[in-house]
Amino acid sequence: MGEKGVAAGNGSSLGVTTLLTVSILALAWFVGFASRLFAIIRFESIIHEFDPWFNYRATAHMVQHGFYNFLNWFDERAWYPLGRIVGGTVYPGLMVTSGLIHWILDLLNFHVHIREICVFLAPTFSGLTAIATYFLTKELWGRGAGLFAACFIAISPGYTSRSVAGSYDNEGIAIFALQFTYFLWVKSLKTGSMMWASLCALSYFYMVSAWGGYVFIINLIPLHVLALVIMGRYSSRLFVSYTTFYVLATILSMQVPFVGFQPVHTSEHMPAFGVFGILQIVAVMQYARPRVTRQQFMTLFVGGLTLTGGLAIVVYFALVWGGYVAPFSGRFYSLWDTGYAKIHIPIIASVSEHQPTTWVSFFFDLHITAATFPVGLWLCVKNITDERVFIILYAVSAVYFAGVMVRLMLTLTPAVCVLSGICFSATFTKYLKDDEKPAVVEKSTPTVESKEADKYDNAAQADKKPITKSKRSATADSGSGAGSDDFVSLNIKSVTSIILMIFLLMFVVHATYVTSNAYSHPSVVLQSSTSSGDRIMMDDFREAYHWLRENTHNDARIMSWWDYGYQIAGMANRTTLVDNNTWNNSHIALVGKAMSSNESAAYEIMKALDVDYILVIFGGVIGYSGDDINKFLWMVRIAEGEHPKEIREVNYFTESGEYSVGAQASETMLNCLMYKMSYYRFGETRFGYNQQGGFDRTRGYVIGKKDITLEYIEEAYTTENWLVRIYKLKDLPNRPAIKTNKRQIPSSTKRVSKGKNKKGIIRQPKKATTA
Amino acid sequence: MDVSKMERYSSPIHQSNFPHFTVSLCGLGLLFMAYFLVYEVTESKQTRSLFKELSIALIAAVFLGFGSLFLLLWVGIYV
Amino acid sequence: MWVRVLAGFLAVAALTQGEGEWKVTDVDRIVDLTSQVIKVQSTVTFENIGASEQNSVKIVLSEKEDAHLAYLQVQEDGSQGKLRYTKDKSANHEGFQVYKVELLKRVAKGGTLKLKITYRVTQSLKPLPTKIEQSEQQFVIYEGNAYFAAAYPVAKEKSTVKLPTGKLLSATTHNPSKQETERLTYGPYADQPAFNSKPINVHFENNAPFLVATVVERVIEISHWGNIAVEEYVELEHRGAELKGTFSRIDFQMDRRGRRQPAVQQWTTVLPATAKDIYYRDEIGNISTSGVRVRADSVDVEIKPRYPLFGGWRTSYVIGYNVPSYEYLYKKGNDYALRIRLLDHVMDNIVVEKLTTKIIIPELARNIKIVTPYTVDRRPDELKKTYLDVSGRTVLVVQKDNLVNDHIQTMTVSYEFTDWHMLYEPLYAVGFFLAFFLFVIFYVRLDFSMKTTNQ
Repeated sequence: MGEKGVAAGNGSSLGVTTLLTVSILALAWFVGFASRLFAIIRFESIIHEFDPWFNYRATAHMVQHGFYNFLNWFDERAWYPLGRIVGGTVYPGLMVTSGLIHWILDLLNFHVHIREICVFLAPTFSGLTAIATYFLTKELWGRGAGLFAACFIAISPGYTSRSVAGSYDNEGIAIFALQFTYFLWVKSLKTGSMMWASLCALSYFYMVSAWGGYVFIINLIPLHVLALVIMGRYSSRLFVSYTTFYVLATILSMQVPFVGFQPVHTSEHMPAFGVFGILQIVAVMQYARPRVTRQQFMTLFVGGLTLTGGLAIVVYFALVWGGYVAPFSGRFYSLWDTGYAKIHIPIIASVSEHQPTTWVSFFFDLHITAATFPVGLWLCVKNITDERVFIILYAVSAVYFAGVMVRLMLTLTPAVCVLSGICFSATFTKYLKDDEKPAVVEKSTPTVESKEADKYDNAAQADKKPITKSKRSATADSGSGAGSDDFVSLNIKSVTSIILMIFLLMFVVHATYVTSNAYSHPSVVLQSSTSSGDRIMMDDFREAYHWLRENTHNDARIMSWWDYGYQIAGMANRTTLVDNNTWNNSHIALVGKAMSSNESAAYEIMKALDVDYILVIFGGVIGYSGDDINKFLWMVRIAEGEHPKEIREVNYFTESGEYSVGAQASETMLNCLMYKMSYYRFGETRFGYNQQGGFDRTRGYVIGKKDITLEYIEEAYTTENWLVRIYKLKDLPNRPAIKTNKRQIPSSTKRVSKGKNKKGIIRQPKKATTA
Repeated sequence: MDVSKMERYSSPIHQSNFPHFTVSLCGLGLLFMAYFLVYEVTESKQTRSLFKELSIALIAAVFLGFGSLFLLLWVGIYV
Repeated sequence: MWVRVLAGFLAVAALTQGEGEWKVTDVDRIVDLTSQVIKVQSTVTFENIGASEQNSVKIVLSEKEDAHLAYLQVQEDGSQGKLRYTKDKSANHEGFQVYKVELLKRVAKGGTLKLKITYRVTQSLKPLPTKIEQSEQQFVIYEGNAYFAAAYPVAKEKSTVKLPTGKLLSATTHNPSKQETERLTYGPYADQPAFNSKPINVHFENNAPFLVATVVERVIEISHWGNIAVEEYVELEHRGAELKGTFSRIDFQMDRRGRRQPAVQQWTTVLPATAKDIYYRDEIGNISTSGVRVRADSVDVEIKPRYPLFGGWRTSYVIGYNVPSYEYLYKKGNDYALRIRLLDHVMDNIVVEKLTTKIIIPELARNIKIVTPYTVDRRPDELKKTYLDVSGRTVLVVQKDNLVNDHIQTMTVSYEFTDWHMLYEPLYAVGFFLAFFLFVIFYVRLDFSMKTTNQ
């Protein structure tokens, strides 16, 4: 709640400061929560996208069956016929958090459905992230910077994109755990206390249970330690905090079933171990130095370090060669070598979130903070301390990774917010003071609690409007010690302050606009407007899933492309063949092969997989561009990866090498199952009286083959706007039908007409003579 | 019991008053909660007075409790 | 010995009470087959030909009708009161079920009695053919009786069968009978014996919605803060001719039959006039295809399910709304009474297979009683704990099978509740906040430092 009795200043100033801080943080929480609710207000409280549906289903299962049944859950309704060991392949933190909140509310008799808790979890945790960022930045620079950073991260689009209401995904709580772990690490480094280091390890445990991105933490903190050692900033505080943290963190992280023994078996965790070893050696050195002569120390230092270094490297490679330690995984390689995934792991390359980031994305997601965060970075470099090394390393590595993959913009956003907060705070500290004489600044080392300035600008009085949050961070802290040297005239100060405030206002407007327009689509419901401005909702997905849920038998198996697997399992509650987990490439390749082959070959594959219904997404009637025909090439590529002899990508192109479904499309393309299912009876649709039938609105031309006949499947249901098409597999006929002229009827040429062997006479059995 | 002799029942507080009650009671409750926070932060162990703490806490709790009830009613959760 | 003879005579007289006491002089029967529910309305004139005045009369339904009987109402023509009837299990006639009706006033010897008998039979129109393709029409077959089944000889009778618009494939004729558009007339027949039957089959086109609500769960929550929340969960199944073959969206979109097809695309639910905050959703979210029209004495909700319902298809949904308490809740002193419908309108001519109505009464209510307009099963009370509850609210549960729209009638739930118990709810909230503040007061008095310093 506030420092107790440490500030030597008068009590009322501390009271007002604390009240102001608490109210600003509460408002930041409220604003962060509110700005993520666009989709809820426009549509309804529903889980968005694809991945969150699996998380929701897992949470619902846990709430219904209990925690231990969830940890041991084997899901036989996914990846038919293989099944999925959910307990061992999922990060349970998200489900446990929601389940815990649900349980506590149930105890208070506040019965909230688990779906509502899942939908609103991410906005709630965004507020907590803001508070954690405040504490982190307060440790790094000061209170004012902390408040700025908290306000930035509450609305920053880079973070909002993955944590709108309805986006029930790991990142929603993982960023909170990330910031909180970093805050505890910085605090433990500053105080050198085992308690803070243990708390840091516990927070790290929560992070490990929440997201696979914990690898970033367990590599960044050792990097920080290494950097400090190399810079000559070794201290006993560093030793205590890192040693405590590493030991506890490793043991705790191995408690999560999905992680298991990875911390000692995989290369991604080896740097942490290596740095741990180095730190012990350095600690021994520091201990020995005052007790041993310089000559002995040098031999010890050089000899020991080289020996142990060489030994470590040899041992590491031996372990990797022997198979005891896994080499770096493919996903990790793709971060360094961007062309790696396209050749070796096409599934990773096909996801749109894994593409490299463009400059537009940087500005779109970060706006003014992208320009101001280098300033904060420079300020940290100029006034270097132990913990500021950390934020520098964090920012630099995050910038690199964000450039590689769009998805990792999310890890950059907290660093950017922290550094921008520092930048704005330092600038406003200098430029908002309007006294002529040099400011009396008491030199304070960053590790001691900072003092509050007494002068407040008039404009900075408490004005509880969320847009003008910059005006409220009146507490300016003395981060640098040289305020008295630079004397800037009052006019320049006012102009600069006003310009910076305009920037901040524009940031708020931009963040709200981006959140509202770009990141608030549930993607389960589509919306468009007619020429008269009316809103049309296209609820085709849920229409089809509800039809499946009510009108197919409980054990029906649905084959579709892996994108929709989680949604089918969540909304339609039916068994699927492949889903978004994409852990088994050959199974997905089999589905891809079935979609790309002609009907009879596909029928064999589908019968072998016990498929009952097939589901395809077709956007040709409304112009929806995310449909299966647009994704079809990836299906072919993935199938080709596993079955190169039967499926060849070139067969699906036209003669000139283009991908088309029009008149020039190749025979293989026109006869494949995906084409038939998408365009069955589409040739009869007409959009106007003079238009030709079969005009595909998404592709923009008339399709190649209009009279399609289906032999082995039949149309079971198509939704109102033809978006989802469901086909049912027909049973094989009882007897195979062979044309009459091809039948071979064996007939005997000998005809017996006389005697006992005459046809038509029943031969009497011989009577037994013995009784 | 004879229903024809009974009167129709309507709420002791009319529905259109819910917003006004919510805002005023919750506002006062938050004000007292802020006062409580400032008091806790600024006073040291010696100058603290349990009676004052309890009285502020009680008033704040009463206002917040009733305010949250009217908030629930205003939102549509008729408890 | 005379005593024995007298006893025997009285016994015989008792046994044959009713038989031979009445004669049916005129019957006008209308059988309405325009929807999925068979509605029969007969106006019957009885004449007391017995030796003394009578206070009861017997009416007869066929066994098949009785198996699916949903609703039976007997009124004296001209008056509003409903007469009580009981199933007469003693009299055993093959293929018929006899009901004994108690009259309000005795009919003197030689007097006449005119009764209006209305009854509804559900799920008895069988689709034939049982499976049809998407473009075909739906034909159903009605198995009935050309004569009016009565417990007494019938002097004169006439039956009219009303048919919906559409083709009439075949109808059994029985002289004198007439076939006109949308109407079949059987009769007039004269001097028929009691328990007379002549089976007739009418095979005709019926495109009315054949939707059966297999489950209707109606939950009514009373709040003393001025609101009654009603929520209904409905599972519907189309029990008409099943869809054979594929469903083709393009054929459906180009179908010119409009409302005259057996597939059901939308229906209207009529809600009470003051209903507001209406929501319509299902398990996977809100359904946006609905429209609300506020009319003078009701609120009509046009409901379109997510997909059209063909034969054999099913769907489920939840519809809920709020009504102000002054419409239905009455109070005097500590006594409260709720007069609300046991079953509310789901759709015109619907058949409800199983209705469960739950009424949630506020916490700390006592002496809860329920009076229903017709017999229902009362299940054991449940307990529901919801917002700001500690001990939980009583939930009254009643169930009934096989209902039609004539069952939309008012029931009365009464209970006692002291007024100031309502204050408990905000006091729980106050206690919650107070606990938080007390925790803070306690926390600031804790000392976590490890060293004792003199600071």
